[in-house]
Amino acid sequence: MKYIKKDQGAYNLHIIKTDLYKTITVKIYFREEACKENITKRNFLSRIMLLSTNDYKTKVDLTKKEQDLYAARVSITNRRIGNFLDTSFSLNVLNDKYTEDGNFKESLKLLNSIIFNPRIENNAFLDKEFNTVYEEYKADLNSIVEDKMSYALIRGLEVSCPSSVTGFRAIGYSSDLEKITKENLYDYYKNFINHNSVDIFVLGNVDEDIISGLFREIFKFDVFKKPPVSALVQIDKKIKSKVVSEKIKAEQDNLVITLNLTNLTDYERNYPLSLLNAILGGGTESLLFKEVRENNSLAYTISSITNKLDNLIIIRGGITSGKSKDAVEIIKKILKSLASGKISDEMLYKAKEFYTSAIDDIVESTFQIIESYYMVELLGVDDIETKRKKMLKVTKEEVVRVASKIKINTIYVLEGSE
Amino acid sequence: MLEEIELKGVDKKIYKEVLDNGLEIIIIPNEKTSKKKNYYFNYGTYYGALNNEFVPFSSTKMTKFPSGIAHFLEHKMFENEDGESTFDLFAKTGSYVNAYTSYKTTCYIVTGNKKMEENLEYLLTFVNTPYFTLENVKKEQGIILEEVNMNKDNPDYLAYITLSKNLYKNLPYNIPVLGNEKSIMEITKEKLYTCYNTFYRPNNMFLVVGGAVDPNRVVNTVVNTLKRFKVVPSKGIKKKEYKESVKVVKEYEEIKAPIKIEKLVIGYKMTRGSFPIRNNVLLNLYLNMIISLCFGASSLFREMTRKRHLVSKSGYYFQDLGDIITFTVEADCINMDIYLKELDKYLTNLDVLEDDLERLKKVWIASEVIKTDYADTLVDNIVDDLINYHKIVTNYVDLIKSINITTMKEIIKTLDFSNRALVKVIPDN
Repeated sequence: MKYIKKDQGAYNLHIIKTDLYKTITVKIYFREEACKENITKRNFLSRIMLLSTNDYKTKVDLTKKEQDLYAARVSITNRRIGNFLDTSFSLNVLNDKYTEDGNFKESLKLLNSIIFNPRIENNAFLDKEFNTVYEEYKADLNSIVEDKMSYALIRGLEVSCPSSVTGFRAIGYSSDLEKITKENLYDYYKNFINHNSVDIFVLGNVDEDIISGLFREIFKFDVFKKPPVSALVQIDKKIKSKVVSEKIKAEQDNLVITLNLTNLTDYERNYPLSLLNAILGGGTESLLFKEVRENNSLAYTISSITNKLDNLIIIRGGITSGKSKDAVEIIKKILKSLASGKISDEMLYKAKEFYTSAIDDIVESTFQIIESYYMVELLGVDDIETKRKKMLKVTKEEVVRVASKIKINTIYVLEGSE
Repeated sequence: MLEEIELKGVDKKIYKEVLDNGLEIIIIPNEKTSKKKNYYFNYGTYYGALNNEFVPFSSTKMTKFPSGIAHFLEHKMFENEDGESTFDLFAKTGSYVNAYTSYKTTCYIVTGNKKMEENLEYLLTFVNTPYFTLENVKKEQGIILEEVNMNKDNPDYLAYITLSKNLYKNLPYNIPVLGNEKSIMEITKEKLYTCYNTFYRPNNMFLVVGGAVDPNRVVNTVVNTLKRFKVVPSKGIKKKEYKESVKVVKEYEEIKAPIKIEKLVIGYKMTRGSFPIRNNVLLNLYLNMIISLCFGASSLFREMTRKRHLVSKSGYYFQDLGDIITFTVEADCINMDIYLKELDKYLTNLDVLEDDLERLKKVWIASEVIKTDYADTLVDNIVDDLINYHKIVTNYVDLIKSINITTMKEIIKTLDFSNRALVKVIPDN
């Protein structure tokens, strides 16, 4: 695998040359500083952009074009990553070697059409398309309570961090949806295209000069580069631990516990924290799984994840109705024992194995490979091989030090009731 | 002897060996030059929630077992006599182990990228050493009841199990794979051992291995590991055969749930015998292609439901249940009445255009080529073939090429939408 980064003026073009895949994958990232009002608009925008373009006037036309290009696939993902709203357009298509000459170039033109040539009239998106997305999106926002686990996470983060980006609902807000018009959506689109930071990744068995030429020819970005904002979210240290419970008609309790990590160094965030989380709730060999599920039969699902950029660990579980308190007691005990240094050599060893296996897994997916390079670009983290070396050297003391910096932010229970 | 098999039209070689004890091993190695390190194992038995009535290995009498026992058994296989957790064994090399039970099979899967042989040995060992006690069965009842509760909180699942109950009178598809609260409590360690000893036999099992593996080393490891256990082939397992009429049990049901958007699920039952194609693989390809052409993103029906704001989400699929084939529609409805009317109208006039069919064939062939980059997908696909057809299908590209508009139109004519069960999920307030 060979990595080349080219400054193309308005954006950086990252080329990852590899013969591991018969496809070429393109990912175009747009990002801006996160602000709550823009989340819903941004989601709306990506839905409408995938519906049609000026060149392909309906979803049917657009899909048929993808099919004509030998199953080319275009998709859009929205997420918040630390202080950024991050939107990526992905294209995955067979290399010309397996199709016909010019197929990749045609696919790039399709992607360009989706990004730069939406259907606009009188400085607004078309009525019909706007209404279609509006109704579908409204239905999706209305039904978020149906998936209890996701809803518990949304609410858990909201009550944990009411005044920070961490509490934002990535899926958007019904109240913001109502304020979107086809005109102000177009204004937002212009801002998105002209003022978001852009990074483009291409992965496949490609020639870097040809790729760079193709992008110059097809994509006319004119991005005004903004001074970078730090991705890292600062936590409000004054936050007091709280317990919040809400009721919903359900068979289970859904538990979300947020843990603040205060005064972590970059090293602690990138290394010992990952190991700590693997030990706590990373998988089926973790303490949470063992204690809450296997030894006490209180749950079917129980795990923890880290939101590194938010300085947060999130514990989630589907708990036997009425037994959340018991589960919380067990979890508190686990946290206490970790902070007091009760980590065996075997636990640490397994956590490191877990991590190095995950590193070797990256190469199995084009999107994972691109994502790992994107994180190097965006956050300035170490590259994969450095990560592997440094992670293997982490000591038990360093993990315990991070465990001792944990403070419970919120214990949130979405209580199941009749 | 390892047999080399070519997956035609996609430039991929796989290997097969059937051991003396009947275990079928399929190996799908990466290209020799590949730098990928992951390997994937899937060790499965042809035993799932469909097999609830059978003649146990030491008996001559057809016996009924509690629903959900195959799934329960899957959970319990992770228990070891020495107390060491199976999860821990695999965690030592950062590997991932899991299992799943469906109506037709129970499969144990491992993904890793270190110490392949050691992990293969672990997998074969834990699946060949059952250890059930009164206590560990009791503990599992609590965990599985929680799994049941988790599913009950999902309105889509609720709709699906209600539909299945209303569609099938005799086929055990009418009961969830997990069973229900009552049947789960009826499971005992003795019953678990009986099921285990009947179905976990080498000639009723398969092992599919893909990724960074050497075929000979895989076979050697399997042979050497299995030597340690008394693996004895079964002399054929007598399972109850179900006769299912095409008539549905209940045509209409309305259920209430805490939802905001109404849901609709419809199942249409048809007889397999009425279709003009005998080859199941080919018929399923035709049916799936019809779904894509008539209900996929490029279909005019989808475009119409989108433009008229009838549904926010919808899904359409066929299920091949042997003598019965079911077509299922699932939709989150913005306007249920009009959607239903339009669907009825559309189903009576289904048609496809040759241009669209040819375009889609190109897409499907391209997808077959893309798949070969992903060892995990290849493993999954071959496991699916084994489960559905008890063989590996090596000529998908040729089969796709053979699909033609005349036969497709004939199949569409055969589709009979008159036997249907419909379930509406409406908000409870």
